[in-house]
Amino acid sequence: MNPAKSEQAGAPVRIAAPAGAACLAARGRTLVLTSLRARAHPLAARIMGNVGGRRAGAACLAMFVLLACLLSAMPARAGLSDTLPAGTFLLDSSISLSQLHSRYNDQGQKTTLIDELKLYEPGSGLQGTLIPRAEVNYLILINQLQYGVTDSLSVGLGIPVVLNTSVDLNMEWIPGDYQNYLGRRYSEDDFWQWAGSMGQPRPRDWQGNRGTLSDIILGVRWRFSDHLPWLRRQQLRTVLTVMGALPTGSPPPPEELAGAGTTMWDLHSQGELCFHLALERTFFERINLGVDTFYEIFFRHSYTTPTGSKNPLLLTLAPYVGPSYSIDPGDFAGVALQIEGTIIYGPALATWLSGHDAARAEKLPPLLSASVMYKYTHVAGSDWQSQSAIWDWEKEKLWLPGHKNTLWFRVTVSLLRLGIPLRLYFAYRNQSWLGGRNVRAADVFAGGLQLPARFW
Amino acid sequence: MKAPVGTAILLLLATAGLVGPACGRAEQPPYAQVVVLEGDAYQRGLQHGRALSSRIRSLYTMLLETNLMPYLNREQDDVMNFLTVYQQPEYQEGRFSYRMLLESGQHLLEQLEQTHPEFVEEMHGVADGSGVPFEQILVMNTFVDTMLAFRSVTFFIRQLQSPRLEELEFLAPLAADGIDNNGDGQVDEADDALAKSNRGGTWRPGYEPRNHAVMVEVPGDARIRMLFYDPPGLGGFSGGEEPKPGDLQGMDPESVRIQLDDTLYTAADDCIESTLQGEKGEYLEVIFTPPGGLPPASVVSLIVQAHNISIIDNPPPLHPRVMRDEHIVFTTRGYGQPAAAVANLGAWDGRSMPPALGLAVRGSSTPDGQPRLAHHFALLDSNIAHKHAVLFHHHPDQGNEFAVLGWAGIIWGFSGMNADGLACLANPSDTLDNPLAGQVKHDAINAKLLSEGTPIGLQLRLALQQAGSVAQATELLRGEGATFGWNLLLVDAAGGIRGIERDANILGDPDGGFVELQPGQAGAAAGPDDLHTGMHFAANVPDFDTRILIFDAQPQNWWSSFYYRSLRAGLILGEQTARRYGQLDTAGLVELLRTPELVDTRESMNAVVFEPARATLHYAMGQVPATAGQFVPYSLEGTP
Repeated sequence: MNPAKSEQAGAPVRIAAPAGAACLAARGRTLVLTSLRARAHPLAARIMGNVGGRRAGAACLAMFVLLACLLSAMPARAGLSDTLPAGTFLLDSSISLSQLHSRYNDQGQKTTLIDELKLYEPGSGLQGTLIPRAEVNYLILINQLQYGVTDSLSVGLGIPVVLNTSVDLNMEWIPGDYQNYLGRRYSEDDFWQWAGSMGQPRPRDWQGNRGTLSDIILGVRWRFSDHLPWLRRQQLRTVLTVMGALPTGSPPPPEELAGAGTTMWDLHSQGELCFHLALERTFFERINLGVDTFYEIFFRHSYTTPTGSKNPLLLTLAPYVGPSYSIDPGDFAGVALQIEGTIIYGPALATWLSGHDAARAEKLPPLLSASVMYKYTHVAGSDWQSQSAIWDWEKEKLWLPGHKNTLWFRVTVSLLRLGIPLRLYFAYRNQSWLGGRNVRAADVFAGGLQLPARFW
Repeated sequence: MKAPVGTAILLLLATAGLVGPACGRAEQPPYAQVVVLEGDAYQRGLQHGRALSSRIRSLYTMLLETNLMPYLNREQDDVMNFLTVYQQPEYQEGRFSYRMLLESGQHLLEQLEQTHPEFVEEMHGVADGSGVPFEQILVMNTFVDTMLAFRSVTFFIRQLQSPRLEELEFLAPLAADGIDNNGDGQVDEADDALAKSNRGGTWRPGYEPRNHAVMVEVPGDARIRMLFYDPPGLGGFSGGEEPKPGDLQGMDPESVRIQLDDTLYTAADDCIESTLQGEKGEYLEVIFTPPGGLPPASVVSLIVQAHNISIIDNPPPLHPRVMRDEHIVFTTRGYGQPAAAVANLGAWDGRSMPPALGLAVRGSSTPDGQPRLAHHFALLDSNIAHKHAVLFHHHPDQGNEFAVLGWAGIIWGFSGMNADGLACLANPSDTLDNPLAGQVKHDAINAKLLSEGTPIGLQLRLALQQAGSVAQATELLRGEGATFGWNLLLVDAAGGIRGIERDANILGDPDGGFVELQPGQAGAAAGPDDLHTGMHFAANVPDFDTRILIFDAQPQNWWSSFYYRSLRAGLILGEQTARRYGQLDTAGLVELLRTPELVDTRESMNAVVFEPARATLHYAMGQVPATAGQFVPYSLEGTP
């Protein structure tokens, strides 16, 4: 997912905007709305005592209390068609660690984020080969607040904050030809001394984005199958989800060789305007199968062109690129298939959470559930526009149309049956096992907790 | 509820369709372009600038501002030691190379305004059309001539302070074998086993770089003795100042490297015995015993290198003073050829690239008798220049219609052809007989490095604009001053072929610095109807041999880093030409240009085959090497 943009500006290394973070997708392709399932889920509906589909439990709690019996409406799993019960809030907080160290090239081969660079001394043969085995890590805190407007319609707000980004260049050096001028082969130090004598400092690892806001996400999910009897008869739940990003993230620092930004484009996990259409059905009361088709749009943005103030040889671009340039990143389109199911129901204790009613506790979500998702994403080519068509192409050729294959595993532990109003989830998302093309393969570990709340 | 659902789905699909992946796959912009220019000089320049504005900016920034200029700045320290004007503040803080190139360009500009104002007008047009400052356009159009001469001077100064091979001797009984082993014209003299130099026209013991064998008929068990000498470092022109820090005198015995044919031996090998001599260890005697002996009746190649014990930190990285690789060829007993008949082809060192090459053919070398000119130009691509390649087709309001293969922002090229059927090309050829050395000779420490004469690309432009034949072009070029050493090839539609080897003639030699070569020239042809050139002089030998202040200013073959690789490539080109004699039509020439041993895979800039009789050319550019691409036909008279 989070490809690191690599750049070769006539020369050596440019890791601009390694967009590595897994960030928002740490919880799946929908940041905000993978949450509570209301009556659409048969189990939940039973818990809510509202099999008929009427709004359940709304009257049972009325004051500003944090937790309530309607916690029983918590979904057992992260379904594609989940919405919150009307009037319910859900606070979701998670931490994601995204690791990015490889990409798939135009031939579909897994390779380093940045191509190896063969460096030549003018007229004197190969100085050496520089292989940047760069690794980009993002640590992201994602706080979400969701609200059920109706049982079928939920809205949400996601505030991702990048806690830290590190870009480790991990340069490997393979000495080249014997250099007459030196009386030896260039070592890596020799090479950077040589470059330094021309004004180009050695690129260093980079750390930044500490506590930097990413693009804030707003979303709405509408389970329109609730209003279509035919679909309900078929036990099919269909959901339309729309998400939009507010441009609150930061672009990469323009003068840094190995810098990374925090916008959606930098993170490359989802678009800035996303449309998802999902279909889901439950089998045997404990297995959900779902399919989600989506189209996610990136909008064109302008960036400040590096002037070479820090890296004069590699980033003096403004004289011919112009003072600014723009990128229209390639949109995402694809399909995801998900299966989720209950693994352990666990004990059901009669606690305050279930009104000291063991039978009611029995209907709370299972102790342990899991889901697996496969997602195919077509990534359209990205378009650079500047005053230099040559430079545009140098960038675009690294972002040609391609695709990524994502596997997603998630385990949810619900403590509701034990009387604790908390759900924990752990997820792992992988893009490096299954091949892709023209994409960066980011792997993400994520963990989070959910607290439901109702205030009347 | 159906309506909203349907609407939402339609909206989704419509949105997807509108902004979807229809963007398609980005494609590389054409790196090679054809630009047709019409009108007077300024108008053509204006059209040039407008058509290529973006590429002019990127070529200037990428190739000059962030590549070549920083590289040349590394030489400032050495230059300042000798030329005090460059110690002034305006040359400091990274401004040395730009100011030096600009001032040299302005010096040339003053001359051009007098002699060829139309070129100045054209450059102004480029500047106005592109919005690039005229100063930068001037530098783009003059830097090659200045840079090459500057590089020669600095490279030479560096080599002058580096170790060199003083003596070369074959330890074998050669003084009684009835053969002139060392090629000095004497048979079995007492020191017949000792390599000799005839620099200055007199044979004396000592090693001299040669384009042919240094020794012949060497016994298979011969050992080879080499004596290296490390001269003291020079502080400046006076020689009185202290050498730069780390500049120590004394050879490093561990540095010896000897490549015998394809096998490399180092000081760690038993076959190399070395002994330091002299008070500071400035002499190093090396005895090389070829393991297993020498092959009988063979041409054997040696590549020899060593360095001293210096630890010089400017320019970085830390380095000693290193001698130029010396490429030596000799024969073993039974081969049967005299030294002068054994070309110094040598073995490949595993890293050197062939230089720019040109070949003119006609008559018996071709299947149809038609003249053709082939060129593969390689010098400084740096993964940049090929992206800015342009075929300029000029329709001037006065003079001939013509085309040149060049680059954005530069009004000339290293090859071209006009509608009258004159085709020409130029390759650089290292020489100290250049205007910058002339300035030093004249003004000593007060000299500035200023080029003089007419930039070679503009000389080709003059020929193309004003001449219709080789003879006319030759006379026209004879009147233009040379900015550096240049090898030219001219071909016309009538089958005329001429080579010209030029230098600036700062000593006023009788040849005028203008040496003509005819088809069949020894060392530059495979037969009577061809002539080739590389980046060394085949006929203008010696190009220079004098003293400049305290310096022993040597001929090209003594110091040029291009010399041996150009020599080798020229010999291979000759062999390939001979192999294809009679078949060298356009396809044959393209095939020849693609011969792997003749292709510089790193600094290749463009390639072309001209057919003067058809006013058609076939260009390959926009990729590295240029010859890896398609040779695209282009006619000055319309569709070829």
